[in-house]
Amino acid sequence: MDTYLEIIKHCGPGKIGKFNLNGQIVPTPNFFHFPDYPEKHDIYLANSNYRTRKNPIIYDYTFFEKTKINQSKFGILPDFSIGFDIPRAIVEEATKKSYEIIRKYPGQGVVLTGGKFPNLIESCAKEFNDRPLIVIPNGQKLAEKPHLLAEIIPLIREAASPNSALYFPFAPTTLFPILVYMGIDFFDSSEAILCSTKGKFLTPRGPKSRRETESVCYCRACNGKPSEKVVDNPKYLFKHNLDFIRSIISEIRESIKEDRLRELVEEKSGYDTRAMTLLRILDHKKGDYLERYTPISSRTVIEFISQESYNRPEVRRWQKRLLKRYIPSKEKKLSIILPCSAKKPYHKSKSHMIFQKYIRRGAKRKLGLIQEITITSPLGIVPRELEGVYPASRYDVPVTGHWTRDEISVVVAQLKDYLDKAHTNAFAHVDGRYRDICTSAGINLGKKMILSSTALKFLSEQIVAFLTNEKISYIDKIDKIRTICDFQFGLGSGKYLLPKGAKVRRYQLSYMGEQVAALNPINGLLALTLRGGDLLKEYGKYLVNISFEPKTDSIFCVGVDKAGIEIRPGDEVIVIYDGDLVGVGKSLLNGLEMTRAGKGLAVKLRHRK
Amino acid sequence: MRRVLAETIKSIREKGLIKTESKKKVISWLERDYLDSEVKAGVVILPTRGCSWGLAGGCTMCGYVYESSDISHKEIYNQFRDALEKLGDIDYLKIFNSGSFFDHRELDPIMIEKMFNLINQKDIQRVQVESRPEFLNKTSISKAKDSLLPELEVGIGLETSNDYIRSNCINKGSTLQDFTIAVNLCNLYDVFVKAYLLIKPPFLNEKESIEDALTSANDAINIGSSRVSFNPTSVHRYTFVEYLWNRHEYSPPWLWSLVEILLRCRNNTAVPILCHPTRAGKIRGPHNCGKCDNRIYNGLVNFSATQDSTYLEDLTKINCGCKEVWKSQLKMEQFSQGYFQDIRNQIRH
Repeated sequence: MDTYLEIIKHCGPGKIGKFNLNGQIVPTPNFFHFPDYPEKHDIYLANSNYRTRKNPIIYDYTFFEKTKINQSKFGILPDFSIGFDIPRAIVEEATKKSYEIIRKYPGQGVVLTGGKFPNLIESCAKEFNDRPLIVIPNGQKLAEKPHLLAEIIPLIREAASPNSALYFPFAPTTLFPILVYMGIDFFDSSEAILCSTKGKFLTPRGPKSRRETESVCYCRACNGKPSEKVVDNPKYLFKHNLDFIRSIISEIRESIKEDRLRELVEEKSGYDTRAMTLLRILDHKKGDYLERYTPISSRTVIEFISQESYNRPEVRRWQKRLLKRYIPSKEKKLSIILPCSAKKPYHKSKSHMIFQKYIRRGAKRKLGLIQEITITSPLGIVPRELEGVYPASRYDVPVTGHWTRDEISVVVAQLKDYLDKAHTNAFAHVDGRYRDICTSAGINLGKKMILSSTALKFLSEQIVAFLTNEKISYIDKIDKIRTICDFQFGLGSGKYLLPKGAKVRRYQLSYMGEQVAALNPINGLLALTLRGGDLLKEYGKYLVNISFEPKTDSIFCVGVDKAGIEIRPGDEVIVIYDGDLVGVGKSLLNGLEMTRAGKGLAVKLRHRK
Repeated sequence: MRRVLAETIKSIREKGLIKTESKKKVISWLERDYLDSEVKAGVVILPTRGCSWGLAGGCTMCGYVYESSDISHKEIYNQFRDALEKLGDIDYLKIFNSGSFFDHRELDPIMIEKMFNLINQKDIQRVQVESRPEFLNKTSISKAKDSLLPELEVGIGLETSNDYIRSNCINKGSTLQDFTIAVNLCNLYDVFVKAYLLIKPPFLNEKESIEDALTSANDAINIGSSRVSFNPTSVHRYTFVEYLWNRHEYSPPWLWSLVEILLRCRNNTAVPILCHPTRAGKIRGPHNCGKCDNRIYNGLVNFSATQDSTYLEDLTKINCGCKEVWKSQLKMEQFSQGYFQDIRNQIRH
């Protein structure tokens, strides 16, 4: 018997995967259906006396009678289902009784016990962390308690093996996207079934009663019929409701494939206060949890569509890395603050081309002394060297000219931190609300109407004035790349990958005549060569130690001995065997996951020794 | 589990005993019941000091201890005499003392004998009393049997034949073996036994409780009970069940479940099956959607009094919308993994 979940692709803690049930493979996220309500589906949950063509996951509820568990079939073990809001002492006793059964049947799925007590639930998840399917108890009640849910799910997800699938029974469909984002892999069709018997019609805005529905649906059951007609026919209603669940699941899967689960979550949470509460608490309290699983880059433009977008893990990561992994060059004597542009990267926009023209005109051969900084929301500040790095290179945000107090305070704090580190004079060539921001940060302002020739000329004159006493300097192209390297691999790593004498030609970086890395123009990050891996290896981060000599370009989790905890999905990693570099490639999981998982791909090698 | 459960119940019980006022009066009424055919039955409730087990904590669902009192045995006897007179001609007398008839702390043996003397003067076919198994011994049974002319029947609260449930979900404090010994003893002295079975103890879902009730009825009959009485849990004040119910962790059974249990039990056995649900149709008692509750309750009472299963079959023909909801609860609740929202509330009229 071999049942496990294999992670294919992350989007935050949410992921698409393959659930392997004794050789029968189903994609996740997914939902279990029940054979009592005949409808075709790819995975069922059923009592052991059911005969379906596909193997169901067995669940016999009879804890109070002695039932025999068939170890050759995979199922969920019965437990002493004590409930949610129960005194702790009683929950603990019931837990003991459940453990007796669970311990007897290794390899079978478990329902966690622990009532409403997060630490009891967590210790149960830790105790049985290797089970292929872990069921979250009291789902119906937890769904009403976002604070508790936000605490419990991350605890369970990180206690359980990455190869364990998490099942959230009886979840409301409006919570599906956010629960997937939090790390849930399986739901069930219970809402479709229960709503059908109650005469409720599922819509993206939640279940609706006959009186409330006017919408026309084009699923197989409705096919354009007026919804009241569908509600009146139990058979149609059930089919519609089930199809609705199918469609939401497929929407979730597709959004993960295109790296837009977060956008989907933000949109769908608008229909359910519980979901929105959950999202805000997660961002606020579990930001690190979300960030650990969020890929480092994407080909998709990141859409900051709502207020919640400002707290996205990608944004937090950007801000944190600017604090920790970015130090402005000591050569710089003057910082010019510029507004962001719609076109990314900024230097390709019309406005920035004009700004740069006048900056060059003022600086002339002292251009190397100038540090350009773009201010934007929600990222904060973007130094010119890093504007090609994801997400600065690929984001979109509704521009209204109006800034919220939060947005302003974030940018002001970042500007102040930058000025503290940079020790340069600063001059802001900005308009509108940007002026207030720069004033708050204590930066001299240029003239208004920044695209007018008066303002632009003033910019040039100011630069001349600021730099009169400075010596001529040249731009060190390698320094710019080192900044990117520091940002990607950690402060100081640039000196390892690009020692003195390293050269840059377009996107290619070389040292002593050998290529060490290439700059990926799409995400602005560095892709290493074997030589580059050898050099960077000494820095000691982003290392994956494996227990075998790779014969193919796929490194599976089972072979990973140790991996840096700083590694995120999509990161460039250096693979080491027996102390020596054996390859460089891209990680699919974060460092913690690839050490803990026993199944699935950990790293895809680009170059192998 | 039992120890922790008992402690929790005890703390609820102590609060309840302070907050509730004890009853001072013997209560009686007439109702329909079944012996060999439909009979007129009289019910008398004696306000004794209360069930010893219940006073010390007791069962998860029982709130009858709060109906106890501190009036003297003599006063109880006088009131019993009046009540018996008031009931008039009856075939079947049922005496309840919300505890154990043979517990000397509740009713002293001399008074029992005096009460029996009163009963002997009337033309009554059978007398029923109730007792926990530990108070049923050779002395108590033979003595009662000797001093009573009518047939004697003892109601014993078995609740379920599953020791695990009785101990961990009910805290009954007795075992199936205790029950079996008591039944054998009763049968030895030609005393009938009526087994009381609980429908839906806490921590069991609707389907589990149906199956448990049916298995228990079967077991109780095989052990030697001459009648079975099903008692659906209702939510008494100051009980553990109420504690759960307040937190939406417990809901009383559906009336549909009672119909199902009686029908299936009827098909299995010939002994009389009784069900007089208390608070039927109320949210604290067994209920459905509110529309069909009365009809089902009447059907159950008619069936209990006549043992005519056409009454039950008629009930299955009631085409109320809530029946589908009940059916889907039976199918789905097991998969909810813990808490299951009571869907009756959403469709209640």
